[in-house]
Amino acid sequence: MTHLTSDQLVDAVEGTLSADRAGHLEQCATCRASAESLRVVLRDVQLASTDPEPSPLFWDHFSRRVRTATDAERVPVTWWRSVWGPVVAVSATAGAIALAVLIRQGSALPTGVPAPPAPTVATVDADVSEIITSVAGDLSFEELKQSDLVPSRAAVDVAVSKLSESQQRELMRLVNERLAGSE
Amino acid sequence: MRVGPDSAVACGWMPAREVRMTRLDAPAAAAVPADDLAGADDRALVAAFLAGRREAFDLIVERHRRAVYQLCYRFVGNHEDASDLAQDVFVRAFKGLTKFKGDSSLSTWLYRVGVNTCLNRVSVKRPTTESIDAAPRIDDRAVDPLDLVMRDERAVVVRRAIERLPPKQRATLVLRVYQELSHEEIARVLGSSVGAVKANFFHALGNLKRLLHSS
Repeated sequence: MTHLTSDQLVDAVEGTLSADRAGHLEQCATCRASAESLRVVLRDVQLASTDPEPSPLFWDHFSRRVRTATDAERVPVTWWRSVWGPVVAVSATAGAIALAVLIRQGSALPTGVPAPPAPTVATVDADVSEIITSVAGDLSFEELKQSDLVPSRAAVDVAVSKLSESQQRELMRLVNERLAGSE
Repeated sequence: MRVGPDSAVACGWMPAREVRMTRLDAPAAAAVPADDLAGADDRALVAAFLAGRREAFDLIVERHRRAVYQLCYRFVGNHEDASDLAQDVFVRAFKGLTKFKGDSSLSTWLYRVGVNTCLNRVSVKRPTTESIDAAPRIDDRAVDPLDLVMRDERAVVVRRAIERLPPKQRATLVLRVYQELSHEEIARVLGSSVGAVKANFFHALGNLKRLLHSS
């Protein structure tokens, strides 16, 4: 019969060797010697075990350390939050921009000139505008940023690219007006 | 160095029941009242944390800190490094919990983070060698003091030999003998097969025998 493999020698040391291989072990002096030498080393390892048990006071201190170290990190969120948060923010911001542009543009049109075809966001009514204003109107840019309500640069680019030429001109005028006002 | 485990063998720090996660129900977890978190299982705590509830992570730390610390200690052999490593393990866990899919228990996942952290540390820093005086004393007043001294000395020699084992063999030995994980659990922690774990364990004991003889 073949000698025990390394796996089987481990099983023999741990007392989980199958019955048929245990039969071989009983009859084979070589395998018995191998298993015994492993057993001796294992016993040495077990006796060398330290039982690290710090003071009970250590644990609270440790938890505080972890808390402090992780306070600097952002709490990770699951996909549904990380995906829907920006989607909602981008949609709301794009809607608000387009709405503002449309309102401005509408008031600037000469009488008798038919209004240009309304984009999808034109269906956003005054109630929605009111909601957006009431939710975000009093917040500073930094506060909006901290609340994840500011869309990414790419999202803004996409939203702007969907505006018509005249809408983009109007947006540019509004931005310039705002920049000039802040100087 | 650092930490992590779980096993079929008795393991005092493990939760009473194995927590299997197939899918984390974050929206539901976000609604768990604060008072209920203390009694929540690991799965619920992870889900609550991923739903934005920071305090759930504090409970995870509280629940697993001892096991993580002990694992680290067994890699580095001293309190200072072990506590630093254990902290590092939890910081990594904090950042990486979104990657935890629930295929294994949280404790197994933490052991994996811990072992990786410990092995990284071991590869860049030689373990501090303890003096004979620093060796923990076994409280056995019936034993001859001379025997105690000799046992302590032998323990230090063995621990130094363990420190010289290749990383995977060392990790396997620590997880099996000191953390009392089953071979299956060690395989999950190390991302290998049961056969590879047993082979590592066998070679670890063989190498230790050789190292101890030479010393």
